[in-house]
Amino acid sequence: MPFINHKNYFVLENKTRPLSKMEHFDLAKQSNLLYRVSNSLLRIDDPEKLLQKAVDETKNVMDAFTVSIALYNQANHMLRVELINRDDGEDKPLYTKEFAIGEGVAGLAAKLRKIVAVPDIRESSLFINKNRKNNFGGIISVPMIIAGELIGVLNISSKEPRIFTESEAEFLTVLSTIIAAAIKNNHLYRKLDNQVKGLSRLFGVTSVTSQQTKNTISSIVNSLPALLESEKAHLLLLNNETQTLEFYASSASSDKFEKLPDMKLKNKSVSCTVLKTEKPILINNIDKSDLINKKFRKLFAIKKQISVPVMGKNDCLGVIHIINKISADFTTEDLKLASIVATRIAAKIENAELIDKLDEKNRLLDKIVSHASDGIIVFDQDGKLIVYNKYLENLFKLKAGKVLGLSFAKLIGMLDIEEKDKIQLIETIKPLLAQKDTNVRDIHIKKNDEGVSWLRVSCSHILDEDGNIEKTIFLVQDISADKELLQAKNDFISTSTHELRTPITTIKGYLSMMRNGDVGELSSRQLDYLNKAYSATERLVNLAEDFLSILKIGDNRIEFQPKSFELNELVREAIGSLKMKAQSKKILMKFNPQIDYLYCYADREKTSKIIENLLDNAIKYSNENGRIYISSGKDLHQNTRIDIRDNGVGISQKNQRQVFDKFTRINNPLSIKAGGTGLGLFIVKNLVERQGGHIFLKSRLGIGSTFSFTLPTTKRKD
Amino acid sequence: MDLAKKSVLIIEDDQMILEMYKDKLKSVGFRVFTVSDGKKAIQRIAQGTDLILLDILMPNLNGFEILKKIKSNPKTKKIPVIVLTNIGSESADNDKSLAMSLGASDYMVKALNTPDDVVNRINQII
Repeated sequence: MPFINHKNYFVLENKTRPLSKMEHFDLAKQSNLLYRVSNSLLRIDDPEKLLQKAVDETKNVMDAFTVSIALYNQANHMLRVELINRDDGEDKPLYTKEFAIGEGVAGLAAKLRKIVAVPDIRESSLFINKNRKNNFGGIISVPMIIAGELIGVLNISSKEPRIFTESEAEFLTVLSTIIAAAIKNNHLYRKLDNQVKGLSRLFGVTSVTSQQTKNTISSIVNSLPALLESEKAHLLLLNNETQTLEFYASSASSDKFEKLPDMKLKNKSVSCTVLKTEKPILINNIDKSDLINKKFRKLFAIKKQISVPVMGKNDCLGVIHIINKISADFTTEDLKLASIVATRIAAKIENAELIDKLDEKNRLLDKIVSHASDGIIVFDQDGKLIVYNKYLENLFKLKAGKVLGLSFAKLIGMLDIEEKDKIQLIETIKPLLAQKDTNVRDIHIKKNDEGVSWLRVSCSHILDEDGNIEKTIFLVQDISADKELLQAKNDFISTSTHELRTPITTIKGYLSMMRNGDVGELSSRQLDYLNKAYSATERLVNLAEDFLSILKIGDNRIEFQPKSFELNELVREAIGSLKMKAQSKKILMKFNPQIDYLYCYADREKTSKIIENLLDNAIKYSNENGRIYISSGKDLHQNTRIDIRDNGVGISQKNQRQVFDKFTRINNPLSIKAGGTGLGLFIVKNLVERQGGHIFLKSRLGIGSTFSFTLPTTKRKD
Repeated sequence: MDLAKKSVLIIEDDQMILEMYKDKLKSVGFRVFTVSDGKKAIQRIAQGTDLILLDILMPNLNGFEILKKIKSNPKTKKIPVIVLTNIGSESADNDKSLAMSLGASDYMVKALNTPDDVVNRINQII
């Protein structure tokens, strides 16, 4: 590559020439060096350090007095000196800091894109900084070019005039290319890095409420110009009602949108075209495009523009314009980047709409919870109170703000009720917290400022996929009024039943005395009448008893005194007490115990009542000359079991389910004769089940019925 | 006639019931004394008796109070008391439990028992 002499400077022409043996040797040495430089330069991220390193390496290799790098600025076609390394430490630029292509040695090298060497600068017409003439000898400027793109110029000068050899020039060509590659690489990396950072900043904004949406979108639009190295960005959104495009946000505050003409979708503007085609548009030569009308061009000083659709899930929501790429043309890469941002904006808008809808739902739910006519308390999985509604604020005169976040125990502690009621509340409710099924408890509390309140508390849970308790919900109802009414009703029934017993006592007492012949012998007719009157009185007594039992069952007031006792004996007693009644219908009762001594663990009197009741029913619903078989034994689970089988009227399949219900009396010819309140089996079922047993019925209409019940043999371990 | 020597004090405010039990008990040979008021009952008990039939719902002093007084007085606490009333029930409930815990010998509901039942129970106790 020979230097061509141009009077007082040399330009290296790209012509090959044969290398000497010595030059081959040098080249091998140099390539090692170049490899090392290249490697170290490519590892540097910081652009300033990169330039520093490039200059330092060059200076060492070339044993130069001064090395500087000027970078080419595409925006103004100027070269700008970025870094100088001088032996004398002076850091001011060799030349004017910024100079044009073609100006001076470096400018010429840049213009020619070739190495320019000056053996003695003082003799050269190219030297532009006359003040510094004394400092320099020879200068060589090497254009840094990579892939045809001018990056800048590398300048090396000596203190004394000197001749630059062709092999030096060739070495510098390679070195400059390496530096150019490193700079370009670094520049690209930084640009990419900025874009990545810019994108992640945009995308990092999550969880936006509708109020914040506009701000967020505006900030995205504001950051677009920097991201795409352009002047400004506009965002227009489609108003579905008016079918017009409206300005939503702009990075340039001076752009006055209210003056814009109506952007009906009909027109052929770039915005409408993008919206209709849903495809981006790139305009680098505005004069050749008729899409941007003159008004807009003038108003926004548009020279170049890309426009991308803001694509929502289903339709195009609007358009983003990015205006005037700084010092370059827009590229398809810019389009891609803008489209990514547009997608992000679309997501924000659609999210905001979704959040609006959710908000609306939440507000509705809040209102429902807040205005509910029951108290609603919700605890989260950590046991912290998260819902406490108005009803409770009124009930306990305690504001939600004071209790939200508290634990269950602390909430109870805050209530203005008597201390012993707090303990009772905690003892009653706490076990429910761990039970996964729904439970209801009635609790009475005495408020410090008022009287007693009855609260009905129902506790249920929301379970997660694994069945663990996620939320605990309490519904609280003030049932004081209901309780009072119920109490009044129960008191009335209870009192009147007891009052009923008083006259019955006298009637029954005198009838029984007369019947026994206490006041003289009776004729058979008199005895018959008295017997009838007596049994009617007995029914009256039983009726009153049933009422009282029902009241007690309803209030859970029946007390059991379980103990171990021999059951067969009890069965014989019951049979004995009903013998007369059975005989009057010529019914035979036969007891067949499977085990001689059968022990069970239950309340003896209640069990007696159960057996008597079932036997009484069997007699009532048997025809004359009927048979009743009673057997006792143990079932498969070792529970005590009693079966009472009759060959009476039987119960149809349809009616079998309801015989244990309250006030049920099955319609059959005998039931009217049998009398009764229809409470008997309801009471029996309760007495059996409250003691941990079960009751069953097998029956066929017209064939007969078998009532069976079980009772525990031993005390339950609980 | 051993029975004729036994005395029963009936404490009962309902006159018809009182008459009925009095008739029945006399007819089987008891010496029968009656009182219809809680306070007067206390005075009468002090004079001694072999057994007391005690109603619960009465004016001035109810049966539970009377029972307490009988059983807390060393002179009277050995007298057997059958609570004979129309409240509560004969299977375990509050009233029966209370009476038994206060020292009653038995708890009978009047409407559920005939006068003969009462006599039988008295004979079992004394």
